[in-house]
Order: sequence, then structure tokens, then C-alpha cells
Amino acid sequence: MNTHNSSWRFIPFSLNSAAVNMAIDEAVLDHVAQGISLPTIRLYGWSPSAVSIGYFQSLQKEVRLSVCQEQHIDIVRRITGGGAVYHDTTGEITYSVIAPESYFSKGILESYHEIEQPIIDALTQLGIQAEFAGINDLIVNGKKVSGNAQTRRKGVILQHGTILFDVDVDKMFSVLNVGEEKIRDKFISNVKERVTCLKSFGTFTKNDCLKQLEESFSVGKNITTHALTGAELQRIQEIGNHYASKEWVNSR
Amino acid sequence: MIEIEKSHKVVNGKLLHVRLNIQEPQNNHPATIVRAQLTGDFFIHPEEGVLRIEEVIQNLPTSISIESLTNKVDFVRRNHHLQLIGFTPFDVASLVREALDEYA
Repeated sequence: MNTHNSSWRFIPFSLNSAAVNMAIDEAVLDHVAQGISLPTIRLYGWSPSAVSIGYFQSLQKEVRLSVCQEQHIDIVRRITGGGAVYHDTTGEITYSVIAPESYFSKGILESYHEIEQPIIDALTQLGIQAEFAGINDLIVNGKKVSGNAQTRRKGVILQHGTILFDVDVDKMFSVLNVGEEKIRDKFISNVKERVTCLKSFGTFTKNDCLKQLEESFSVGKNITTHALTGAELQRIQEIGNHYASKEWVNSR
Repeated sequence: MIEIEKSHKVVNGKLLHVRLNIQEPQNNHPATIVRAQLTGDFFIHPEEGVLRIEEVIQNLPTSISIESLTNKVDFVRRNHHLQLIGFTPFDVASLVREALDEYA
């Protein structure tokens, strides 16, 4: 990763609605592409709890819509591919890395690993041995703790991912439809066996985890904490409604 | 018009799901795929490339071979400089062919 001596912005953890979270990622991508915002690392959460589905996924197939409606769970479609994610307001941490493509390897898999390495390093500091698995997952003891998704637009990489801190797995799979096909090559009989949460591996808090992630993502970078710019906030207002629209969420 | 669908989890890859609308044979015209939609947890860079893959499957006769389908999807991949992650053109072709075989 070619990030030495480059200036970065860190945006501290905040809770936002699903549409606003996705609008922030896109607005920052646009402004990094134009060279008017610094490459950015964000930590964030979702309020209310939400399901995000991948760019190519079928809403009807992936999400139990009636359960989401009953439980006031937001639904949003991402501009990145990958699978459906349940973002619990209290038990999940999401991150974004948004930077010029030239900062990372051209190879997609290599760049996933480069961007996810600070998460592995943060977990190591918390006493958890995580490793890469498959194309875009991180696992601990063979179980998934993080899923990641990347897009490349306008010369910029946007990678965001979920880190399961303390998620109610029963609730997670009450809102996500995971067919048998998905786990057929995983040598497990129940999808709930496939995931785990960081909280099961120590006595640290979510704040400890956030602090460690900030530290690990900052290594080797000239990084300072800044809020979103006025131009970014204006762009978020413009595109926020698009992410909230039925046309976008139902587009597949 | 008939709608058919089929899913396949690529080993060590991603889940592919295809939905096809089939126009049944009429007036000496063979059965034809009139609409194709590919969904799943895969990645395509750039993402809009999925529309090009769906387009190339549309208007094909349901008798098309797996080899022809693979070649067509691969042509789109090369022509539009698409990166497919978690599946190959052959995976799409074999899924479409399996769906069509079930319809037949």
C-alpha cells in the first residue's frame, strides 16, 4: 500500500440513517475524486438498525421485508457488490476507506487485503487472531467477523465493511434470507454457525474496539480528524433521497 | 411468457441467481429468452457491466449451447473490460443452461 507521507482525514464514529450513511460514502468518493477532499477513513454505525444489500442482489430474495417493517429496520442498497448485511445499532461497527486507486494494488484481492490489514492488526491488539477468508471476509476461529465490499469509480476506491462486535445472531438471521445454496460449500449445517462476534473473545468494550481501529488505520499515514466539508454535506443532501427511494432499493 | 429461475453457489466463489423470461415458440419462431436478470452477492467492476451481461443473454434461442453462452458472456467481459469476482463467464453460462434445461 502506497500511503506513506500522504495526508488522510479520519471521521470519528457517528450514527446515521442507512440512506445518509451511503450518501456520505458516495459524497466523499466524489470529492476525493475531484481532489478537493482528503482520502478518508470513516467509522460509523446505523440508527435505526438497518440491512444493506449488495448492488447486484435481489431485495425480495435477500431480505425478510415483513420482519424489517415490524421491527422498524431500514433497508438500503449499496453501490458496492457483495452480500446483505444486518447493521445493528448497538452491536456493529462499519468502516469506510475512500482513497485514490493509486494508493492500493491494482489487483482487487490484493487491495482488499491491504485495506483490511489494519482491522486484523486492531484485533490482534485486542488479543484476537483474525485472518482473511475467501474473497472479502475476515474470520476468527473459522467464523466470519467481518464482510467487506469494494467499488472503484472515478479513479477512487471505496471499500466499506462490517465488523460484528456484539450482534444478536438470531435477530440477524430473522431479517436476512440466507438460502441453503450459500453455505453448501462451507461444511456447516446452519448459517448461524458461520458467524461470530468480537465480544465473545474478550472483556473489551465497543469504544475500546473503535479506538483500536482508529489507531491501526492511522499507522503509516499523516492522518488528522476532520468533519465532513460544507460541499460534502450539500452533496449528501442531494443524493440522500436517492438512497432512500424505492426505485433504488427495489431496483433488482 | 414463462418465467424461470435458478441459483448456483460457485465453489469458493459467490452466489449467482438468474431469472429468465421465455417467449414460447410461435409462428415458426423458436422459444427465446426475452429478459435476463442476474443477481447475487458477486462483484463486477464496473458494476454497470451487469447490464451488458444481461443484454447479451437476451434474444437468444433457448436451444443455445453452453459453449456459445460462455463465449458471448466472455466477449462482453473482454469488450467492456469487466472484472468478474466470485464467478466466471462459464458459471453464468452453465446456470442459464441449467435453468433452460429445467424449462425444457
